[in-house]
Amino acid sequence: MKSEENDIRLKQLMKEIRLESPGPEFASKVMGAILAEPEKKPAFVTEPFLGKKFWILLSSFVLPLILLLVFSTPETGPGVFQQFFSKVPTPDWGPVRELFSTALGQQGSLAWTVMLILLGGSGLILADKLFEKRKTLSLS
Amino acid sequence: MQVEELQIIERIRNGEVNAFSHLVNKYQDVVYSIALKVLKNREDAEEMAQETFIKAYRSLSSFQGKAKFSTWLFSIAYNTCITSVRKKKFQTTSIDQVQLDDPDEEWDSFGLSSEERSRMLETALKQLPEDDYLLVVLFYYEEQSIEEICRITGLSESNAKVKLFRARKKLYTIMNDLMKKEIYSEP
Repeated sequence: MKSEENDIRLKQLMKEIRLESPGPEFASKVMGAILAEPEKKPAFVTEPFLGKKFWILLSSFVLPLILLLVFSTPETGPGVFQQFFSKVPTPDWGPVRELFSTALGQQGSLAWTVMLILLGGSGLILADKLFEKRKTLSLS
Repeated sequence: MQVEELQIIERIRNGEVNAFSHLVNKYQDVVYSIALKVLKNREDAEEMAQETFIKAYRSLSSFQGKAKFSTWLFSIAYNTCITSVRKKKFQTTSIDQVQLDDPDEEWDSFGLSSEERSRMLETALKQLPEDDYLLVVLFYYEEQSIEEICRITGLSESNAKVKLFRARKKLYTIMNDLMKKEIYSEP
């Protein structure tokens, strides 16, 4: 408590002092040196609009979706997708398809739920990037 | 304040190089006084302060705005100082050069005018070893937090707290000594 009081007191005292100053031409010397650097404007790294995180998240959704579309059967596609799958001819890849169908049958709607979460996550990252971009533009 | 600085940085990034002079004017005294404390020579200190600002300008692209601009700038100044000291094999003042005889942490400035207090504090700051001076100026003058000081100096939080506590104690000891001298020298 005493230490905090001392801190506040010293901060107040410090406001009354003046630190050592460089020569009056200091700022102009610095600016002169900066301006004398032709084409040496700060090299700003152009960051890709959508970062690595977004693409990892999106691909973790897209890849399983492609696999599901290729290998799923009307029985393994849950809810609203079932009708769609019944109309889409799926290739008969024998054992692979069977294995996939068994796995999906055991998982129920889990795979779809996970994919929806990942899709939602990707959407949130995209929205975050868009807002950040708008904020930067409004600042400039 | 932080937003205003971010706007200036954005202007510089958009090619308005002259906007950088606002930042130079604002922080030149702190950067210069730290450099002067370390190098103990006005010309060298000015050169080092200049180098700090030029480095800051050149690496403005790496400033992400996560920390305060001042924190980022002071860390450049600190590193430039360290490099300069190493190059010149500069003899730094021992931290324990100032004897902490007085256990009192208080400084009784009762009876002193505002000008006298400021003058005494300025004199005491000049007598502080550079490590302590840096911590005191950053924490009490620039109001950087412990966390920010850790970023600048690379100290651990506990170490920074202990060093700051000792620095403040040294400052009070010096100020009390100055007070005593002033009292006894009075006719």
